[in-house]
Amino acid sequence: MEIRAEKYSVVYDPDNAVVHCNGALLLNGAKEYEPILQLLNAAANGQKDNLTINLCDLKFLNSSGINMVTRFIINVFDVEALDIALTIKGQKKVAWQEKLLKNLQRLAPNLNTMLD
Amino acid sequence: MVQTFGEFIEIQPKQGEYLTIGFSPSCRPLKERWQNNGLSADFIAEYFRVFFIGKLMDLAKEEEKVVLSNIKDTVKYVANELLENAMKFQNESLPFTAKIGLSLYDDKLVFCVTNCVDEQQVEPFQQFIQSLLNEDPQELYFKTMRSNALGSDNNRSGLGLLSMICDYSAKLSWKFETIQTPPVTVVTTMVLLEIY
Repeated sequence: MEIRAEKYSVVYDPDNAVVHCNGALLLNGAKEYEPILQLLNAAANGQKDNLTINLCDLKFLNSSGINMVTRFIINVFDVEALDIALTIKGQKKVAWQEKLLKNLQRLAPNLNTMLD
Repeated sequence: MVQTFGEFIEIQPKQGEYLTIGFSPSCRPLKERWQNNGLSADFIAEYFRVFFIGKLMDLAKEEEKVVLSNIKDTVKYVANELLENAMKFQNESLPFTAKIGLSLYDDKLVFCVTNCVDEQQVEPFQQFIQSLLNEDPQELYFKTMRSNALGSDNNRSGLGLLSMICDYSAKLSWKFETIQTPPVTVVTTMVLLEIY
């Protein structure tokens, strides 16, 4: 399962239970982010034990993108209450990724965050 | 009539280093301009990145690279969010050119975005500004994230403005100006980032 566009890609690798996000995500509102949200939700539903969302190669995420990620996190932990260990991975030296991970963990204390 | 919210500073005449880009509503449909938001924000961020190089001489080369990259990301994020809001709420039926300007000072960066809005958007926007200025922004940020996640798509969620305040310590202020008869409301959003 993957979404590839000129400026970004979101690729689900089911064997390694990881979703790789690459490039710059500057889409217009929840409607344009819907396919990515669907991919993330499908990946979470498709895994029994764990899933990692790797943001290390993501260069940019606008606030609608932040909104989409929070929707996904709330869906996994609160709406569907899935029994999987969800990890979001980012880079320590990229300030926005560090802030995003901190915010997401405050939003969902059971979320694992990993800063490389 | 002019109304200001927050600590709005008039920056006139233009001084020092500044850059302004204008967007005419009659030139291109919104969809195509949406792609331009990122390009404009990228250009602004890259343009101003150069001015920070001399300021970071105390840092080791690798550390300087990381700090510069984070400054660039911050400028790009703020510029892009302001442009997205301006494009989203610009009243396209009026021949008014939306503008983004960035001014560089020794101790701060000041972003100014000007666009005109529909009259019916003025009151809800001002109510949102009042809650931004009067409530705890961190609490409001998380409350907004949660309500956005559980509710439907909220066009005026304000998450971008809240993230500027909470994640980038930005100071926000606004000026609402009625400029014509019948009244047309022009909104200027100012974002001030202190340079450390």
